[in-house]
Amino acid sequence: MTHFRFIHAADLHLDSPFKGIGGRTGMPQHIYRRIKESTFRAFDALIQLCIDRRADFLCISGDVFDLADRSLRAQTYFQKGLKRLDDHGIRVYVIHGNHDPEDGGKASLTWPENTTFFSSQQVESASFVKEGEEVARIYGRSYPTAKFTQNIVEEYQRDPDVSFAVGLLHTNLDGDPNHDNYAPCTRVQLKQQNFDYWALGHIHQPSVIEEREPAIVYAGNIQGRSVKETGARGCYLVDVKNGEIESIMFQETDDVRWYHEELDLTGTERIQQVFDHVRDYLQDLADRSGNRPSIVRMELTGMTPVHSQLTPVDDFLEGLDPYIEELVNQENWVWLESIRIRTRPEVSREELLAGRGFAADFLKEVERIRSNPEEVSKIREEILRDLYGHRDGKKHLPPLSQEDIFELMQEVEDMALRLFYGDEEDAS
Amino acid sequence: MKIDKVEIYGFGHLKDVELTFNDGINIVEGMNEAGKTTLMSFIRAVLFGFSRRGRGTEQRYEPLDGGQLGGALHLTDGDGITYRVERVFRRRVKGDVTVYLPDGGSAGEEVLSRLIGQINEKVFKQIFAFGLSELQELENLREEEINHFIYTAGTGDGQVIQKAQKSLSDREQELFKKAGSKSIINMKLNEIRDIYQELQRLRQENAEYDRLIEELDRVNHELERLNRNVDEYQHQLVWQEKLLQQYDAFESYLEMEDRLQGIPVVDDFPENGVVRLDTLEQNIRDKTAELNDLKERKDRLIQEMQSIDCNDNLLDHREEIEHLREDVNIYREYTEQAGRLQSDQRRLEQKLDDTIFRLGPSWNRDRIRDMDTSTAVRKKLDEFSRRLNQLREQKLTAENRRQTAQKEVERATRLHQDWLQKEPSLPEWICDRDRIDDEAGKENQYMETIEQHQQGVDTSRSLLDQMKEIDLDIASIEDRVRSRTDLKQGLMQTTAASGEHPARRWGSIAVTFLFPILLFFILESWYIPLATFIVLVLINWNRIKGDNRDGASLQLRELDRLMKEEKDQLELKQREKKQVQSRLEQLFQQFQQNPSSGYEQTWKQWSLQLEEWKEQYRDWKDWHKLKKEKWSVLKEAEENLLEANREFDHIERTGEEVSGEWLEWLQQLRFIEEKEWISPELVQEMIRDIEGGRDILRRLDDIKEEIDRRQQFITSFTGRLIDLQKQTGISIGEHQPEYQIRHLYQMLEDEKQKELRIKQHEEKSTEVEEQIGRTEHRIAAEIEERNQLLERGGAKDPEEFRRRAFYYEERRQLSGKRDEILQSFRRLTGNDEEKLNQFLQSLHSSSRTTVEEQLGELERQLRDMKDQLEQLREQRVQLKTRIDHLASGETLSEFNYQYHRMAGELEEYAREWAVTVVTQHVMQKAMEVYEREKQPAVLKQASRYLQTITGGRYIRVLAPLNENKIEVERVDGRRLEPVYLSRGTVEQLYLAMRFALVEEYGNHIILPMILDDIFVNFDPVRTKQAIRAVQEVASQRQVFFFSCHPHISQLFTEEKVNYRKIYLEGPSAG
Repeated sequence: MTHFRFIHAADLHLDSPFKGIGGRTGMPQHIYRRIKESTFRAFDALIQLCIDRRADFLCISGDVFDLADRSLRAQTYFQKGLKRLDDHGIRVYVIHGNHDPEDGGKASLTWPENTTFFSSQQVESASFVKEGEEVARIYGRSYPTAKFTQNIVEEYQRDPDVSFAVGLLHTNLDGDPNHDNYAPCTRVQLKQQNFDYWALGHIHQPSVIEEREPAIVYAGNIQGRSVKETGARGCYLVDVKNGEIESIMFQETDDVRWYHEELDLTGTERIQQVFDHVRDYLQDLADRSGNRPSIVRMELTGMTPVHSQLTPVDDFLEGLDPYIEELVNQENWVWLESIRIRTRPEVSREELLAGRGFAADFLKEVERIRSNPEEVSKIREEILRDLYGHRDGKKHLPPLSQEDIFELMQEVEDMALRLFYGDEEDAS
Repeated sequence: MKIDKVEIYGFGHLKDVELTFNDGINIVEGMNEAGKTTLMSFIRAVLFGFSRRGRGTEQRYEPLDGGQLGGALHLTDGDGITYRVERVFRRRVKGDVTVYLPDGGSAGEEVLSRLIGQINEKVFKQIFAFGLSELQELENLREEEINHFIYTAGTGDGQVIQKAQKSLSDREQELFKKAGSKSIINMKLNEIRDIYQELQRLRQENAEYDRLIEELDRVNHELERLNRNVDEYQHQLVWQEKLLQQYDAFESYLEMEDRLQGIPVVDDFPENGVVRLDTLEQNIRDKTAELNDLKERKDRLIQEMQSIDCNDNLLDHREEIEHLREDVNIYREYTEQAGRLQSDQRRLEQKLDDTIFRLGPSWNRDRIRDMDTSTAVRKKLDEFSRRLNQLREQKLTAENRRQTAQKEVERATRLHQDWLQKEPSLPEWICDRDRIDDEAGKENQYMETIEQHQQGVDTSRSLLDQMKEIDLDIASIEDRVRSRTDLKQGLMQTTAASGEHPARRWGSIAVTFLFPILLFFILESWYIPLATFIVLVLINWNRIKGDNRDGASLQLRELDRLMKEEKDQLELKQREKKQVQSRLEQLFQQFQQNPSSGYEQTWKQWSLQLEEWKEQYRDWKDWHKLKKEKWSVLKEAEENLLEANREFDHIERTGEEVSGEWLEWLQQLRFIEEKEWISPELVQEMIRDIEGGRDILRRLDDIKEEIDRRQQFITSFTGRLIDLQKQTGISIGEHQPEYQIRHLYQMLEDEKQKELRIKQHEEKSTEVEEQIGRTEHRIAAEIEERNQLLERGGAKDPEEFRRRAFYYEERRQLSGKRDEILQSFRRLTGNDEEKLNQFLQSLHSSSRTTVEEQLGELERQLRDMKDQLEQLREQRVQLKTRIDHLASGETLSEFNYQYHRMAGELEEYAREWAVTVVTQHVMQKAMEVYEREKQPAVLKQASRYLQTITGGRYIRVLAPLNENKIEVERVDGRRLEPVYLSRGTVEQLYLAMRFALVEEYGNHIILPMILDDIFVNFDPVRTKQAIRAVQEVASQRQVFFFSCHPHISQLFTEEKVNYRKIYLEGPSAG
């Protein structure tokens, strides 16, 4: 009877910069430019997708741009995209999230007719009418301010005569500790509201949490923007027939793809093999990325005799460069963002711990610090204070989390082993 | 773990050495170079691997005499299990380890590592197996490093740790200094600060956007307001302008109104009434005038018609006159032609007379006309001409030939006569013997004779040869007879003496045999003598054989028989000779040869003569041949001459015949009257003349005919002209016919013209009559129409009509103008009645000057407003540009990216820094733990051992925490640092500390200790005390004490310490 199709996207973060691409100096200009434009290009892809797939409307569940960045270009670009959709008769429903809240200093732009921005005061609804009949009603509420921690799910009340209800919500579902806990709610709460489709935003990893009754979907961001946002990014294409969801399909929109890969070098005996492995691995990634450039952070792991030759990492990268030069310069380039050396010499940790050498004492000490929260916070607050507590350091460095310290301890352990056994290799 | 046995395959100068050791103390004694240190190194090497060649002070100990490097240790572990650990050098520098397990299996390094408790070589060397040099090493350490040494000695990682600490600290400094500015992170922080500031600035700038938008809104609003004002003012301005513009119109409106008041009202009036009335009246007048004209014209036409006179007689002969006029040209032409033809006729007559005169007197016109000159005649004439010419030529040729032949005959006759004179002579015998005149007979005879002679010569030659042969036979027989006679005489003389022959023969035989033997002896070879022998045998064979002959008597008999035979033969031959001779003579006689000068000579002369005859004959034969030829030439010439004569005669006869024929033919055709010769060429010429004459005759006939025809026409033409004049009765007088005809024709034309004119006048008058009728009708119609018009205009006469028309028109024009002005006012006020009234009101109420003043004021105000508007627009454009720039600018984005890039970079460096710092922190912690937890126990043990060794003089070893130094406490409570101790005491202190560490290690692993001559600097008392310490240590483990001093073992004995002594032979002792 009635069929309609909509696209659910979120977290566009237009023109907001990539985090952590400064790990290596000498990034070629063409890569830098492409990265810089990638959020815009991903947005273009989203708009094009709406047009090509003849979507009836587009839902954006918050964080269209980072208002803190004050990028007018992002806002005007968004405006242009909406106009394009308007030209094609595609409606757009937008809520603001924690990065673009009502009080975030949005520029006063005139938005096209097709676009509905939901109020930040209470949940509003908007009818989507197709061929003279209301086929869906979209509910949403924008963030009035960035740190909006109120649970607003209760406000989403389905009207009695609605054939298909879509809820736009920028939320941290079930209080994921890895994300800012804004507008929190729980899966159970969402299910109780008797909606058909919950179009969620905030979490950048795309995921279909519930397939149906109701469908609960995080669209994820349209373009991965740091090494933590690896893999395909995009939006969901939802087909609805007779008020029932027919299909929810993920669509890629990312322009540049992030990878955080681990390469086990166990069994590698010569540095040449390492170069070859890395190059082959990156080549494989390029093939996998489906016609788009990739940025890769690589961790080399495993026990290998070449361990000591992998550091200092800058020297290793210098040696590697000629092998991956072609990959860097091809149209769908692969940029090795950084390489982390996590290899170990061919001695087992257990063996070292069992021995009476200094290494045993050292490892035991590392263990002790790890298991002692006081020690951990001591490191964070005292040992590293000089830099992380520095006037500028505090400003420009991300604060160290518990996890960061654990990672750091791992590196300390690696460093110590390298220092104690690095030379051993030569000496034997 | 303890060492039970050492098996050295080859290590330094030690080769194939086996040593067994006990538990407890083993004193290995030997002189210098006996191999004590080598042995210690061997044990170390088996446990930890061979050293590299030339690394520091250590040696590799390759076997001096060659052979396998390596050996084995028999070890027993803490559980009493024994192992044999073998290390030999195969490929790896460290050597290859095999651990033979008690169960017969074998293992590698990992088991060995477990056996020695995973301690490393450094620890082993520092604590378990050391010599004086290791012991004294401590002396050189600086105080702050002493604590470190303890640590080092305890862990074996000292140097590594030091190095690590240094490199970490260096890197830390390189990365970040708290108060620095040149370290990497410091610099990055500075950079990022700058970028951040710029970023903030840009963000602020972008934040202005809304203010700008507001400003733009305000400007837009202001613009809108101003625009509205301007519109209003503009409106007023237009109103005032309208008033001003319409003021003139308004005034004339008022005037119109006034004038309308004074004109009587005529409501209805025919459209264009006056014009129409005028037109009608004018029409009536015009038509009446026209009618009068027509009538007048009609009268004139009739008058004119009556005045024209016409000659009908001439017109009746119109055709005849026209014919004559047509023929007059022919007449003129013919008259001219007739004159010309007559002169031609005369000329031709003259020419014909000339021709007749040329042909001859017998010729006249008829003869010429009748003469046959047809093609057949010409053909015949040509044939005769050809044949006659041919004959003439043939005759000439024949004449020529006849003369040539005559000349030839004369020449041949002369040549023949001459040749006959030249006949050569022949041998006389021919002429004498036969007298044959006939040439052929003569020739045959001659040839026969020569042949006969030739036969004779040949036969006589063979006879002569035969005779010569017979003579030779006779001579040889006579010779033989003579020799036999000699032989017979000889034989008869030598029958008695028979020795000589056999002797020579035997000599030959002897030579035959002996010479080869001799040769054999000379040459010492057998084949040359053998060949010689064979040769000699062959040579002497006859001689050897000959000795078998009969005796001489037999020979004589035989000889007589032979001689008789030969005599018979001789006689036979002589008979034969005579026969031949007689035949020869007979032959000579037959040919009259006289053999007086000897047969041979005679034959020679004869054969010579024969040759001469042959020669003569050949000459005569040649002459004879030529004579025949010349004769035949002569005959031929005569023949030719005869033939030529015959031919010539024949041609002449034919010529005569043809000439007769020719003349006869001519006569027949009447070319000639009599038979006299005339050449064909002449005849041809005559024919031409005849034909010419005939041609002229024909032309004369033609001309005559022509002249007649023309004369005939001229006569008839003149007759016709005269007849015409008679019939028309017009006489022109004696003029040329041409003139007469032209005159007549002219007259005819005049008459025709008159006739035509009459006709035209008749037509015209009919036409005019019709026009008169039509015009009268029209006039009546117009008058009717005029009366009607007057009636409609409400007038009785045209005058009244015109007056009424004037009133009507005046009113109409005035009210039209007034309405027009009103209409334009209405248009100006937008067809709004109220506005119109207002407008009229304004005009009524205000004067022209006030309106003009108001207008000026408005214009000024409007100008001001427009200036203001312009300013605002300018402002708006600027704002818009600014806003657009902000909206599309990428600088902020660029800086944002740069900032994050920098931040990323900073984070990476910060991370490295953090790792460096934390690693150092952990290292420090690990060392503190050692110092706190392990060092006290070690120091306690060390104090005890030092007390023992120093006999209670020093009672404690101290290592104050955080003070990086070692102190000893003397029994008097005084604490001393090692620098203040004697050398021996320092060594004792470090020995004590090592013992303590070994003890400390004992908690983990028990290993044998090897002490290499370490008591050197100890006094005897302290040595004994040290031995006791060693004894204590040895209670828990195996101890090897190497020494080159025999008194040491003595001291052990004195102290009643159990030990096993192993004496190590020096290399010289073998």
